[in-house]
Amino acid sequence: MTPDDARQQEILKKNQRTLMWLGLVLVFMTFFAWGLVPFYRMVCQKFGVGTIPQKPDPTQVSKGVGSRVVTVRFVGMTNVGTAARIEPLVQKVDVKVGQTTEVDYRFTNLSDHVLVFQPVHSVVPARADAMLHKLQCFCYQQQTLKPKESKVLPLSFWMDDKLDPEINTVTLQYTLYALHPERPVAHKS
Amino acid sequence: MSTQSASVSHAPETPTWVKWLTTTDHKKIGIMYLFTAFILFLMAGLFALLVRAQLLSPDMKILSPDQYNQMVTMHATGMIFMAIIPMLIGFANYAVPLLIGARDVAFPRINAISFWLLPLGAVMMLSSFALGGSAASGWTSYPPLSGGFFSPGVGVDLWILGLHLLGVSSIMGGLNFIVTILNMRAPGMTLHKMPIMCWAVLVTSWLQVIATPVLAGVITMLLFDRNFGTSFFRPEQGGDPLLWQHLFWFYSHPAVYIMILPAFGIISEILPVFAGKPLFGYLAIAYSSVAIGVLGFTVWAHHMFATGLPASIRSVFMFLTMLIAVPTGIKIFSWVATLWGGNIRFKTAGLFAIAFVAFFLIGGLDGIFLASIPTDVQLTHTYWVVAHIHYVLFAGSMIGIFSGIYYWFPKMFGRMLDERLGLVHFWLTVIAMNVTFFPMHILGIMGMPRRYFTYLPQFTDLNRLESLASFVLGAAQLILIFNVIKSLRSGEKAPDDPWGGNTLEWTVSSPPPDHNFDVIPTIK
Repeated sequence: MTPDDARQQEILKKNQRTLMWLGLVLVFMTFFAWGLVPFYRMVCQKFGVGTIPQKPDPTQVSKGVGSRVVTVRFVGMTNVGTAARIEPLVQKVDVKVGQTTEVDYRFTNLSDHVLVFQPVHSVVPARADAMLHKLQCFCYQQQTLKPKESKVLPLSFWMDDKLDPEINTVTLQYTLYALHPERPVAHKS
Repeated sequence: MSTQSASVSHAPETPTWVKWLTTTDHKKIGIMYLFTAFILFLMAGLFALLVRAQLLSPDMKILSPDQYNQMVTMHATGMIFMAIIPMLIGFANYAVPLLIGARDVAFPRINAISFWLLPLGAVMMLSSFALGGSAASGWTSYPPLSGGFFSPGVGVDLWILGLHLLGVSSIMGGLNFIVTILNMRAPGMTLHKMPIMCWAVLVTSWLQVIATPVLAGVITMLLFDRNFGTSFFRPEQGGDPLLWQHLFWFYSHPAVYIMILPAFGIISEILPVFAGKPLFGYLAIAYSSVAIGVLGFTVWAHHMFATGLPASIRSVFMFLTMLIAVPTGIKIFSWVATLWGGNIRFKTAGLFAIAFVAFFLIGGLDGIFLASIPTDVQLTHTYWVVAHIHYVLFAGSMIGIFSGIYYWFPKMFGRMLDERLGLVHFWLTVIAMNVTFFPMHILGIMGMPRRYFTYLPQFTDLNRLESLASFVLGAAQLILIFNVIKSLRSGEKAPDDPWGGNTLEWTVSSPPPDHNFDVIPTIK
């Protein structure tokens, strides 16, 4: 074996070893990519960002009613292609921080089919999201409406006194999406 | 002896085209990468010209709104995944083993598979035009626009599957180059002695290996959402469209560096040769590439400043993004210092390298405005972003690629390219490029949104100017094609070292022998 051949053999072995290590990096990055999904959900639920549905947090309780007043506006939107209507029964309320307030939303199924949905919330400004504590909400579980049925569902909440002092108005919006596969609707359109 | 000769001469000669199609030689694969990617560059360029034709006036009817969206989507997808990245991989393939004194890459057959996945992926994506229309949701494919409701055809599905093939190709290429550069350098060539292009390819390869699995994951999630009822990005079932943006940009911001770092490497090789001086700040340039590669993974959310992320998070990403200006600035200063006081030869390859420094700088500076939250929220989704990306990817990556073509063509084919035609190509490209892309900054400030097939009448003059300049830019590339064909047929024969190069490829014949080096060189 010439010195050149010996060097080639040595390089070949080194190459296979390095490739094996790089293969492990690839496997790790693949798990990392898919692992980011539950990690993202966790972060969103913890900090109240994104559109991941929040769950009621029993540890959050009002420490009493304060004197500061905040205006909360309510908005409802239906996703494109969904034959339904969502409307808040009041447009806005002025609430004191720490005070439990209840408002109602009306949901109407305009179609001839059963409608299954779970409204998705969105708060503007976004940093107020974590300060708006919901005690009862139609957004916590799936809802069902029979064909042409209309239903009024309650939402109760209190506003945290830690809300940024610069914020005087908070807008709470719910979007109604039908919980049906998207494809058939899209193909029809 | 005569009997042996007779038996050899009777053996059927393998046709040249079969040799090329079955080759595992890094030089041939590099040339095939460049050839295929250049064809796809012309195709993606044609899509851009159709877009610009539609924008000649607000009421043009060249494309329907949906066709316009398809052209915009496939222009960007084609340029990024089928043209720029593969062309740079082509240069890496051709040059790296020669630069480090190796006979080939570490895994030549994997290298061949990497290449063949490129045309396969391209055909997969482009076949959507024959199957009801291509993806039309932009190269970023944000859900819900890319979801089943708004994009019901197979275009997005084929886009995803094609991207998977190109992604696998990219990962395999990255693995090959990391192993090659780490293990196969000539005796005596330490990491700090290897040519700067190899540093750029090494960092790029790491980016490909680390980031591409995330892209593979996120596009698979979209495929599942579209076809199998999952809800990674569908808010109605507990998903979040913003998750797509986080994961997509976790890959796609490093992808920007995959597209620019090898171009940095190319011009870092070329500038010293045409300045007649050693590269200024070798270690600074090498380690600034590493810094850019690492920081590139920490800035993805600057693409999401307008999505309602909390201010504290946005501020961190703004700071990290600004930080990237430091290693990038180090490179710019080093290149300028390399040119400073040099005996500059204004050959086409050198001119393109100098133009890279000048115009990539614009892409860096206008990026600062997008990195800064207060200006970004005004400029995001406007033509400012289009200007920025084209100053980075055309004035940067493509100009770097042109520089590389003029520099290594004599080595690849043993023929010189025609300098006069090269100069015409250079001046037309550089002037038309600036007239096409610079006014987009102004349109961005005026508030013209990107990705629309029409616009307000007050934007007409600048749009018309850009469109006309883009046609000149497109036509200028025909000069390069003509030059290549003419030179291959009857170009002046290239000597081994036509430029007075500093690296090992210039020590062997033009074109190099199959095995590159008769004796593996030893570096002192």
